Amino acid sequence: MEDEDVVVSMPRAGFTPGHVVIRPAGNFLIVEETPQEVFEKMWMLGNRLCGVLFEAFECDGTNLLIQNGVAAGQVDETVILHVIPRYENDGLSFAWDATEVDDRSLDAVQQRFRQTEEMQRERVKKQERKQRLEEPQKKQKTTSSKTYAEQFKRGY
Amino acid sequence: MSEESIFHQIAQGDIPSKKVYENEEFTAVLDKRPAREGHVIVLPKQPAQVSAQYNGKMCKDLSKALKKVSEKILQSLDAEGTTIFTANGGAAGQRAPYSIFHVIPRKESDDLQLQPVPTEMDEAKHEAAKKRLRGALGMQAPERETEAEPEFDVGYAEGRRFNF
Repeated sequence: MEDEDVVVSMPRAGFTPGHVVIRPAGNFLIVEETPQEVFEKMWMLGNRLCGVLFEAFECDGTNLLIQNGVAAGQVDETVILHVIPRYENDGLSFAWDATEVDDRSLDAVQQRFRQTEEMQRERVKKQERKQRLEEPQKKQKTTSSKTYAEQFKRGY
Repeated sequence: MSEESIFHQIAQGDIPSKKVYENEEFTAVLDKRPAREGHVIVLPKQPAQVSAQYNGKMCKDLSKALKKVSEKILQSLDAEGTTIFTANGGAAGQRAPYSIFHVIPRKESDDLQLQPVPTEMDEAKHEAAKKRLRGALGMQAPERETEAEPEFDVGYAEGRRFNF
């Protein structure tokens, strides 16, 4: 009842009738741990199931939801994509209070994203540099372990 | 200007916005009316009313965008988790006929009401619902003995009905 990457099921306790959940077949706790090809498949299915539920359950709409992390309401041990059929007056609500913010505070957030990117680029560069420096040493190491093996073979 | 065409222009880069990520099919920008600081919206570059209309390439790029944005939020901001969310249709809370995805930074202490409470269906209703979905997917009922197993064979269903 699953393919090698994802499992689709209908929990008995759902948010609304027809609620379907998609989870990876492997054990991945959050989105960030889920391999891209598995995550992709989850969304491919999620989006298509929206159309299927629309016909099969005659719902008036659907929500797609991932509660990524305990702070976001995650209760399961794996990442889950919820496909939730919605009906007029079903009592469910995902609304939030939104207040318009000024450009300055948006700029500040954008700046923080950029700083992380910059740090990551630096880290990659550093790693590459380190690798380049370590390469000749590695070669030496192989020779020495080879020598050791030869000595060992000779019954040293 | 209608809201849908505003979203389209943001996605295309025709109106200035605070972009945080972009790939071939999607643009991610900071929401001007955030639920919490760092709230990002992910918009398709080609207009779509609901996410059920996305083609394969769009689903692929959507998943890339959502993963990247969520990761960036966790790395850059004071967030302990993210809520990834979309609404298809007015009954689901969609406000403009342009499909958008939300990635919202979360903290355990925040007071966002995004945690619905599940209700237990009775056995007969649950069986009927599963049957209905299997029918819609063009699938056979599973063998009785596999009771504890999940309900659908995705691989099998894919070839039959998952192409619209």
